[in-house]
Amino acid sequence: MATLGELERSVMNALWNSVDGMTAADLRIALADRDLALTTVHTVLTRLEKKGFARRDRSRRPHRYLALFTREEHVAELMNEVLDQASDRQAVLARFLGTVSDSDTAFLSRLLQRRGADS
Amino acid sequence: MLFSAVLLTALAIVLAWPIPRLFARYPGSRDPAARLLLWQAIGLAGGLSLTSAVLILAFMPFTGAPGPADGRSLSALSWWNWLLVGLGAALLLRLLSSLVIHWIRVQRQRRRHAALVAVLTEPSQELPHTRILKVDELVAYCLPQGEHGTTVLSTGLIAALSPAERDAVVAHERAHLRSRHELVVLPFAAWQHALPFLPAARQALDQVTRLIEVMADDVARRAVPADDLAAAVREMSRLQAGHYSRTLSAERLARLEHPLPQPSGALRSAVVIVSAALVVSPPVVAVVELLSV
Repeated sequence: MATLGELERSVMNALWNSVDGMTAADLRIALADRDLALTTVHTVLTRLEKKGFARRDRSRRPHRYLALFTREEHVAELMNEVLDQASDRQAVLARFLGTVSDSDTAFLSRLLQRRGADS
Repeated sequence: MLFSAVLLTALAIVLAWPIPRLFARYPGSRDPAARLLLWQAIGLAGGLSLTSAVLILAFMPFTGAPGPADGRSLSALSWWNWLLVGLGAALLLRLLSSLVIHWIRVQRQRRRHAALVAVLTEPSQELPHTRILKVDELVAYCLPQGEHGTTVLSTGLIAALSPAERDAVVAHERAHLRSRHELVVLPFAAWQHALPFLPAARQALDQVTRLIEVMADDVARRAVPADDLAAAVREMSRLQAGHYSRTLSAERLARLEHPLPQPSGALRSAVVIVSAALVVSPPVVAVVELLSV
């Protein structure tokens, strides 16, 4: 029985691999080996939405789900928190992930802004 | 009494500037735990002495003067007494609230990071409470989240180090988690954030961060050979020179390459006595003075 965390990861991997997003039904098929109920898929998707990993496209029916950022962008976000480039000392501090400056927590919001400017 | 208030203020100033500067400039690491205790005492005593000084000054006209105590009342305090009381209370409140606020911020960041880790990493097949991140950089860190905490390693690190060196790195990270070093760092990080203009707060934070790395090494080498940990530190420092402090790596290597120094019982007792004296004196003096009101 997979944990919710593992399911979230599997769903995100599926979303990252998809081009145009996926419906909940698509995802259920993609994760067929886990034999999930549709409600479970919906629960996982809602959680991912709330955590800012996925977004829902309501323009089509049934709703499609897409990844909000690419996997690489999230990896960059994680690495940014772990290896603060500001100074050697910060690199050590960041490992406790509580002493990074506020500028780093704005990483993704900066990405979003840049995206908005490009589009 | 004015004398004790001045004395306490002088203590606060000494603890805020020259002593931390001196202490930081001679960073011996024979007994890191003892040095950590002293830093904690300096930080705590600094705040306590300043607060006590202000509170004593606030009630000053009422101390030492003869006469029936019930002749005076709170309503007789002049406005500047209240100002000083307010200042003392505000200072204490600021120091305490900065701890709480920082704690909340840290928890939020950690929860966010834990969500990233859950989605981006896979659980290790061999190591418990460890997750693997597929990146080429050498990454090894711990996330103090949940009951056991999580250690994160990168595929790049696993490829670059031998299995024994990797085990040593994991032991080091688990030492951080078991020793709850995130709680040790917390007040120093909080007060540096709250008092950015105070160089001593930054020095204290730097020094404590350094000390917990050495202490994690000390704990780790109970479980793994010191040589393996030293080799790992050397490799990581060499391959990712930008991210690891050269002086810290050098210090860790110097300690790992020799048998663990035996802490001196006499030094430890002295440190405990000095630390206790530093922390206990300001409130005791304040209470004595205020009781004589």
